[in-house]
Amino acid sequence: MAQHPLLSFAARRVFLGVLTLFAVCVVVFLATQVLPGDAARAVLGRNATPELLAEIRAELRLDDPLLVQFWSWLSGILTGDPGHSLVNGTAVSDIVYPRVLNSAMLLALTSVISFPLSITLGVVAALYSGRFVDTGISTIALALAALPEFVVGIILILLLSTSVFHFFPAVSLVPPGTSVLQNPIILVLPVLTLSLVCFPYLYRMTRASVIEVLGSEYVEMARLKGVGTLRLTFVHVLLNALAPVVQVVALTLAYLAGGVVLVEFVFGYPGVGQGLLEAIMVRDVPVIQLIVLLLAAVYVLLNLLADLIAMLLNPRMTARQWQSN
Amino acid sequence: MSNDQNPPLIGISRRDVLRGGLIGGAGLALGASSGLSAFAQSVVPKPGGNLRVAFLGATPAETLDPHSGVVQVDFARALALYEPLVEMQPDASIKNALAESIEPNADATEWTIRLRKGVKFHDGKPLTARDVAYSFQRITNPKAPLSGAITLAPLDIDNMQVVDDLTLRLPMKVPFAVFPECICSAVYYAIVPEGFDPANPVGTGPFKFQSFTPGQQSICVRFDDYYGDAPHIDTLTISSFASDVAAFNALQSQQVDALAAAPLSLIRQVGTGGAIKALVSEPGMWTPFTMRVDQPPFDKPEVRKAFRLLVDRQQMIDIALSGYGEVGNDVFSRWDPFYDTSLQRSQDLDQAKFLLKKAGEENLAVELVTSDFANGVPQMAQVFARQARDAGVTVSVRQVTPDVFYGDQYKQWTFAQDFWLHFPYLPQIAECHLPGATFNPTHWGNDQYTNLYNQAVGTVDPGLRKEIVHDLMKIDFEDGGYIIPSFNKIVDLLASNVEGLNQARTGYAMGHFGWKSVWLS
Repeated sequence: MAQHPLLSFAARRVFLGVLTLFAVCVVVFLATQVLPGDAARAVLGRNATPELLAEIRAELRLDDPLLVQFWSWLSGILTGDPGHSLVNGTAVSDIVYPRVLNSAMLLALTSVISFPLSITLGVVAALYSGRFVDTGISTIALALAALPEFVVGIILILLLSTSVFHFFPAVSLVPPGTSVLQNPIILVLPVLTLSLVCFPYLYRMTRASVIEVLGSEYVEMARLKGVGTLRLTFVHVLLNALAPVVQVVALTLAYLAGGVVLVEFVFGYPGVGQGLLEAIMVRDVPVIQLIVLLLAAVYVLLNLLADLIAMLLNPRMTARQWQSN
Repeated sequence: MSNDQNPPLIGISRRDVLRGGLIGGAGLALGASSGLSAFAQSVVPKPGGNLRVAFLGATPAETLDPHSGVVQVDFARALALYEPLVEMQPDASIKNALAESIEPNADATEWTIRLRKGVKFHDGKPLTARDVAYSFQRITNPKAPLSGAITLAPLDIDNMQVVDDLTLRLPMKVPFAVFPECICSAVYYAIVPEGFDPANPVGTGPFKFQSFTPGQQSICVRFDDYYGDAPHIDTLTISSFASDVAAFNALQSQQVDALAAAPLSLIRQVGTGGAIKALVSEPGMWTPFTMRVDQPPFDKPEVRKAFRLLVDRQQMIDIALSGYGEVGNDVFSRWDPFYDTSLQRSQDLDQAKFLLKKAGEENLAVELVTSDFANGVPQMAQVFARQARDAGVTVSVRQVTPDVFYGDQYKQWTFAQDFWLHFPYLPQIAECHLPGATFNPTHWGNDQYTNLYNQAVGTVDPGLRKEIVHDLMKIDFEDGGYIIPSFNKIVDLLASNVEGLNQARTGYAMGHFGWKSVWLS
């Protein structure tokens, strides 16, 4: 093969990713079809009379054959026009994209704060494994890992905005049509909560991974050669220890992209997760479909990136090994 | 089935928190005390400010179309932006709004509406009779009838006649003496300009539209050309919350000034004299049990009566509603001017047992379907089950989610619950107590009742009409399929500087959405 193994691996993975996304499209479409209740009924609530129901169903073309509905939906997505909300008639893109931006902001800030901190603390704890610093940080991490995210959020609210101190706003009210950045103080508590929630996993993974590498023979060899601690840690150890950490980072990012419903809920933060929840409650199928599809795309993309980065970090792993994994 | 006599009311359950807001009307209700004297109005209202109100049950289904509102926050916005011809007041009385007069002919087969002069829409156009005609056509459009269409059925829409700019003549298909009380709300019966488009929500109300995102927030600003008393506040910002906790936190951290129709669990956390006060409404909302009169065992009148006698109403209010209610006696429309307060019923287990035995239904076992669509409703179901056991009746409570409850099987449940806000008695019958009525979960209806109803709505003389209404109420009381153990109170939580809201009787939150009277001190 003339191609670089990494390139052919990447091409293969991208192709598989696209296939996965198509499969997701099909599953999402079918799943939203079998949701109990239908949009027409959800729209009307208790006001649903048979005539009104028939009227709205016809308007929404809910009675077309499945394949026709699927095709018009998929082609809409591909051409950048995901249609209109069944519930209030606004363009789905107008509903979803502002929320995507809000969630992206949350994700970016949390990553910037939480990832370097967790990894640094993980390395520190590994270097001082078994000593006071390590046990101290590890205990805190364990406690945080045991707390559900909404509990962390509520504790922070009680502490910092309602009962004890009044530093930050308790909920993230974002006036429609404005960006969260126009009033960045509302981001503080959600970002802090998410950072605390993400911290334990990354920290523990980094710590475990670094400890493992520290125990390996080549590190011992390097030490015997007289390599300094700093250089040893950051050049010889960390790069090798990062491969599993990258996977956790990817999973954490995927979680931050859409799995933070509870945190958004507690703070009333207008992100994707809450958008999905509300759309599900009213069976707003086009919105559900687009959000789920976007989240799936983020998952696929992040995993792909994580694999590629892990491979670059660890040249010993050949593409063949990756494929057979 | 729970044997617990004191069903847990603690905390905020996941279900509470995730509760959908689809369910029309009240959403949540009820609440706590705290000094009512705080609402005494002796000071001069201070003008200006932005009142920020939180509502629960955020949903993308929220709409600014006054004729098809579904959730409570839709009604709140409708009352800011729009007005009807005649309007129900916080005390449930009815006053002219856009109409200067609204008069029937001798046999109530034709009504003449004269509009107030000098009323302007938000876009500057004057209100005319053509707008009124258009509004009625829009509501009753046979291709897409909106929520108020059923009630307006007697209107002969095709023969409406615009006499001049301010006069509209409305012929009726049948004598219809109660027309004004049927159209007394901006919810469903708002007057909108010709060619109205909900995307450009123009009305005549005291506030005009500025921005709106369903499920999140709307901003309305004071309409300076409003014909009536100008509102005190400059801006009305209404935010929808999915989470009770987030809404309460927002109130506590002063991001909003009021939480409308707060849940019981939150009201308890508010003490007296603090930064947050509670506005307790008069009782007005009702959350009845519904017995299907066309299905066993409730097809037997004795069983229905026995079930009504099983209920210790005060105990139910004390336990399920934390005391925020007034005893009801199985007849709806508590504040109708013709309401018959002589009809009273209290628990009588011996009589209930006797009636059940007479009906051959001893050791009866039934299923009661409940759902958390309004404050205290599932708790009322539990209390009922417990009280029924004392008479040897086994009631198993099945709780379903609100979307299931109001889904395909709504109106099919044999024994279930429902909720309503206050509406005058005869229009209320049209909505829920006639064969074919849109919301008739008890499947009540017979020729005698329908005849009496038709007679009542066709009777112009109020004295005579009152007599017929009392006959109808007597039938409801003796024979009907509703058990109405209470009229419930709504509690709003307000920041201490929110003033000028009345204790409404209508079941609407925030003193019947008193956006005109409210002010910030």
